[in-house]
Amino acid sequence: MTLIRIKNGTVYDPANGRNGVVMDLWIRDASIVDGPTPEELPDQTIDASGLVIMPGGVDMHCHIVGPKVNMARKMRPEDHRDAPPVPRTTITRSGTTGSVPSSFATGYLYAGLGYTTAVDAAIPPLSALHAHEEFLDTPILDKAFLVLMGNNYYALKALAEGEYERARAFTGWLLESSRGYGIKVVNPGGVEAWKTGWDNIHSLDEKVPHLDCTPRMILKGLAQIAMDLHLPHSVHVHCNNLGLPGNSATTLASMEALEGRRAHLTHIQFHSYGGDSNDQGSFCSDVPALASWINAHPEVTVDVGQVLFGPTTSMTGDGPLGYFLHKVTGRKWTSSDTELEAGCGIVPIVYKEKSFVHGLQWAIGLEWYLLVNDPWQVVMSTDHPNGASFVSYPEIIALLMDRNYRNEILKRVHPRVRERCVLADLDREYSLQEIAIISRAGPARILGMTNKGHLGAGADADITIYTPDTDRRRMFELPRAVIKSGRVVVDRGEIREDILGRVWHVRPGYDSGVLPDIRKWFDAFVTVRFDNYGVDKSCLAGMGAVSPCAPKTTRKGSVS
Amino acid sequence: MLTLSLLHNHLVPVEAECISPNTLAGLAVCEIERLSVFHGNRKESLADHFSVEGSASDESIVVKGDCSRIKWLGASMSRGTLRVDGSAGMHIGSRMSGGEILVSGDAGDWAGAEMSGGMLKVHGNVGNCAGAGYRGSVHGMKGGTIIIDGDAGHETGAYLRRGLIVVQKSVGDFCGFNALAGTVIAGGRLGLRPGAGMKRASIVACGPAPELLPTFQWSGVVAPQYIRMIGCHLRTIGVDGLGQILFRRFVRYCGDMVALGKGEILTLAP
Repeated sequence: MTLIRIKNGTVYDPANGRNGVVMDLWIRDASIVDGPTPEELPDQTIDASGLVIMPGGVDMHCHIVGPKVNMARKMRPEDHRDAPPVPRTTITRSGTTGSVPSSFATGYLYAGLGYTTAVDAAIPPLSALHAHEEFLDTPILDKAFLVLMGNNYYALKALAEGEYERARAFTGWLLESSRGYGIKVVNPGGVEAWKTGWDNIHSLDEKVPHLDCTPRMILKGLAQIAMDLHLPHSVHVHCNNLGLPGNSATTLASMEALEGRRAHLTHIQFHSYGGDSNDQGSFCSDVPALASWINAHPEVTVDVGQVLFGPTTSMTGDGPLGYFLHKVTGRKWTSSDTELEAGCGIVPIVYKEKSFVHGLQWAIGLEWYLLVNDPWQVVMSTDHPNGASFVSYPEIIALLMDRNYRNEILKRVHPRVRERCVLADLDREYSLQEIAIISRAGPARILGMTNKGHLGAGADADITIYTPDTDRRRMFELPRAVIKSGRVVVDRGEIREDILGRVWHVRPGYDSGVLPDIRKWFDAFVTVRFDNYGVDKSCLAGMGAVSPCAPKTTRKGSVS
Repeated sequence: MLTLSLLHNHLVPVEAECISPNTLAGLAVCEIERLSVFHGNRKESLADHFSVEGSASDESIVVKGDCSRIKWLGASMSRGTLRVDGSAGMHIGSRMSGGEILVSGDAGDWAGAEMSGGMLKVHGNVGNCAGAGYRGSVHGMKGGTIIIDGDAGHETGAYLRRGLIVVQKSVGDFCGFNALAGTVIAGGRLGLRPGAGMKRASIVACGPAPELLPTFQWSGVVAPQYIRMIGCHLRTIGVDGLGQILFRRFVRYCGDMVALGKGEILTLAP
């Protein structure tokens, strides 16, 4: 049993009410513990005097594994060619970087930034085995993935036929068999409609062709199922009409359609546009209205999906969106149909500082951070790699903590941007405590990962130590040290130990009476045999960890 | 002048991006000898493969020996002169933006790939993808001149964006594939499907009339002024034979109609 003392660090641990408290932290093996008895001496002492300590970062919405990521790696050799490679060392494997790094490089880069947990937000259950195998090649990080369900034909059919119990049992079975962590809804119904040759769906009450089912029914149904299964994370929603001017009306309608149910709306920046969908010139920010709704509804949380300027790769489970981007940019495009489950589109994209649309997207993302009053309701994300690579997180922190820097960039972007948003009027600057909330404590709480995002006794010993610096970007780009599961994995930017993190999943339970019907469905329509579907426990190579499903108590005391 | 003499012939290629006036100018011989190269997957020093004499302070380098297994000679160079007395391996002059490279023998694939300026002259033949864009890139060669006295392989000038490629003898298949602008002149036979997917750009076939894709349309007999200007330019740099032919009349075919259709293939008028 190894005992480590981190001595005299300045601790930012919002979940435990520590805001810049100078104190010692104690680690026994892989967990944080209360201070031992005076007689017990630590095996190792890390002197953190004058250094800033935060829980390890938690990225709750990124795309790092699975078929879409691999397709993006294959279709963008130029992305890897121009980016610095990760060389092989005696400790680490080699890899490529760029907007879609290779699997080993992904783990090293995240760890190098002080992140210790990442959740892939869109895996078709048919590809779950692939995702888990790739997790085993993504070192250091603890990982999980959300299962794409908003266009799953079986689930939609059950909801359309009013068989809620069957839909709930199917969802429980699907999460268990794929060893997923939560429910992801992407463009509810729209992907299924587009895949079958119809137009995308543009409003909440439009029916999905062939199914007597609407986005409203899908949203409500899956949000309720997530609550009834007591999943640690609420339903995770990518709304309809992503990227279109005027889509804020759809976003607001989606929020209201939840009727008080818990939900997380993801990459909200891409869903906050005012104006007329037929007139790009009318494009403007609608964040103030949407943020005031969020401020009044603590049961709903958001992550931003911040856009930053430069080249990146758009990859989405929203197939029609991929096609739209291909038509807009003229760049190469991959579209993929995962039978009866999901879609996918991949397009390279360059966000340009001088582009009015891109500049406004950048500003809209920042408005979200600055207009949501409670930082526990807003999470830092770039929707990696859609808005930018996760390696840009220090840049976002610099923009949030320094309004002068923010205003400097705002002066450089297209002049119309300032007329179409309120960013120039926002003086708020984030504190280190608030940065700790939006980058670790908040996402961990929203994901329901009770042992992540804080430094109290019993928490996983995932810790990042930073050297204070007035240049916030430099401070967060190069942590002094990163500790994962009680082991120093990064020291001054160098990987010191290559360990494998755990894979978190849920076992919510389900009514096994649904199995004959699912088997019949597989026999009739699915190219994979029922018995070959799903992920065996052995595929997790002993790294699996089950997150408990239990009724939630919200911060305001109500039970959901 | 700095002279690098190859010590022994290789089966396993050596990657030597450091052999460029940009890197070597201003370095002492001992520093040059210590520069690293990759021999297969092993990191070795330049002195393991070349003897080094002289100085590159005048930005002039001569490489002697059969360097057909030495890759990336002159890659990304922007100034000075690099002369290869022998053959050169793959990627010679890749992404160069200035200066001059002269190869007395043959050159491998990707010669002058994605170059944006300067001059690359190869006395012998070159492999595939001369002046082309690397896989995934939007643009190939973006400027400068490539002169090849012998044959060129497939996909010569693929994704060409700007600049001039002159091949005195035959060119392989898919010449100017997906080209966006720029000019390729072929003195000999053109292979299959020249100009497939091209949006703009010009391919001038001075040899036998090539078999064209059906998506190219006949659009008259022309004697374009810009072709004559290129002819004058070629004569000033010693490419007399081809330079003379460019003053003749050409049959113009425009295409590729599956793309923008503003490109052209010119074949010698009967």
